[in-house]
Amino acid sequence: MESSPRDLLVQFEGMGFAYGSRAIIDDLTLEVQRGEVLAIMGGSGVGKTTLLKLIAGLIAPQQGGVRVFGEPLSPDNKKELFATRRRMGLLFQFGALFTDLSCFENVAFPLREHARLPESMLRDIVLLKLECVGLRGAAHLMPSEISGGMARRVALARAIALDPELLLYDEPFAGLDPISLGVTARLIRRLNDSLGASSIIVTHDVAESFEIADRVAVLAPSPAGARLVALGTPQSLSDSQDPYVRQFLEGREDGPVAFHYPASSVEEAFA
Amino acid sequence: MINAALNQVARLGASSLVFVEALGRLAVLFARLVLRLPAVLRRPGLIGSQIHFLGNHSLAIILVSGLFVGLVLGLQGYYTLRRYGSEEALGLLVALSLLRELGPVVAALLFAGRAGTSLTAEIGLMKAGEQLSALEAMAVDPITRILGPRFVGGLAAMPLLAALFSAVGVMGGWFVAVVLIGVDAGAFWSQMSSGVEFWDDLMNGVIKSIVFGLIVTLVALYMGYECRPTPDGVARATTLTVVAGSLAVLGFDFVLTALMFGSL
Repeated sequence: MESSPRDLLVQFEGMGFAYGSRAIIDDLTLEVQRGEVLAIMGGSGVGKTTLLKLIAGLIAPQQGGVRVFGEPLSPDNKKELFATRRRMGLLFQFGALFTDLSCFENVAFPLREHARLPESMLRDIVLLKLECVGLRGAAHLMPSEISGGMARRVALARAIALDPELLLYDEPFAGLDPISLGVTARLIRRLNDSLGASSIIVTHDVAESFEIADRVAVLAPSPAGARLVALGTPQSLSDSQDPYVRQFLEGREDGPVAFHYPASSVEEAFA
Repeated sequence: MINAALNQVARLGASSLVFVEALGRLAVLFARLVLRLPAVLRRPGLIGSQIHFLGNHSLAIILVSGLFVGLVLGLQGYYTLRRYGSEEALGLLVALSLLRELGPVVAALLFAGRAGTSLTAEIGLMKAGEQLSALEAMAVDPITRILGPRFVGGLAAMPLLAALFSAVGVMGGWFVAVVLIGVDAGAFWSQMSSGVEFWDDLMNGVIKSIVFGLIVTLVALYMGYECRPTPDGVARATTLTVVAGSLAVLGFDFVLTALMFGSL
């Protein structure tokens, strides 16, 4: 893929982040190109979701910087930050639908807030977005009346309501049945290509993300915060000999990530 | 021994710090709400639906409580006033008690229990369900869009509810005095209308109800917005809304009463 600077939608430049004294991410350098689907993988609690929050500017890094759409994020300038966020869509792990609004109104929400549209045009756009995720027929239902997998698809329709250039997915596959899982995965790929957007998926689901991602980044925990240990096409990762990557992809019990949480020796504990 | 005593002191200090920090955060939230007021007022539809929601849902409990407070005031007032042979002053006693004190205060306490808790739980659950973060991610400011209309709505609903409380209470007092006991109706009303001052009594009561509405709504929003986003955290925040809101209302009532009527 060609990569002129304006085709880099997200750039992490030697970025480090910590919650208080707890280091989360250490010296991350990573670029996301226009049009690609990038899967960021790693064990639970390694700081994958934190990365998405950093891109959306919900939190700010302590070291290095994050560029989105070529511009450095400025957490202090709310106006600029909001203008940047309007060009991206963020899908939360459990959808985060507004429980007091119907599916239709949930998808209409960003349009009503940011675009002055006549009601008939708004209706067409909302139904079109719901059609994309296969839920036009569920427009009138309340979030409490649909399944978790459907809620996530409605949230996806809401995230793409403003035709974003960058789509961020937080654990889109967690807790889905096999059918919803396949549906969601192909939907992410199809939406990415039809919108001409870039997508970043944060996940630990190996099979699905290897199927749809152009590139995969693997984060591994370390005392100084999570580090990027592998980056490449799904094929090149499958061939990787890195011990952490091998353990992660094959789901081995013991390896660089130990099965046992650090503790005193067994002899001592049961003496 | 000394260590234990010192620990107690340290704990006292720590909890005072927590309290002062909470006050600071409350003040910051208040400042942010005031700064965003122009943006909030540009969406009258959102405010209207909140006035309807907060006011309408508190209406039944406010009206019933007002009626019973008025009834009891009539009975108790009659008991005392009869000793001095001045039963005709019952109307004045009921009206002044309600307008100056009971209307704003009791309505605010009920408002904290009925509307305040639902505000806290709603905002807290929105936070727990990541709905507030979702708003941020959609480039919508939750303070302008969610908290602001509720703040203005509570501020507007509270004086109306207090006024209704007082009005129904006066009717309750009239029922006991005139219908049940047989106090002269003309004396009941004329004593009331000549004894109640517009600025000193009525407007001071209105000012109180506005201040209480601000306190209760602000505390309720703060508790929801700052709560830990867990079932336990939302439950705690809801309880705290009633406790802190009620105590703040009673405390401010003393201060306001001293300022308004202290020189009498």
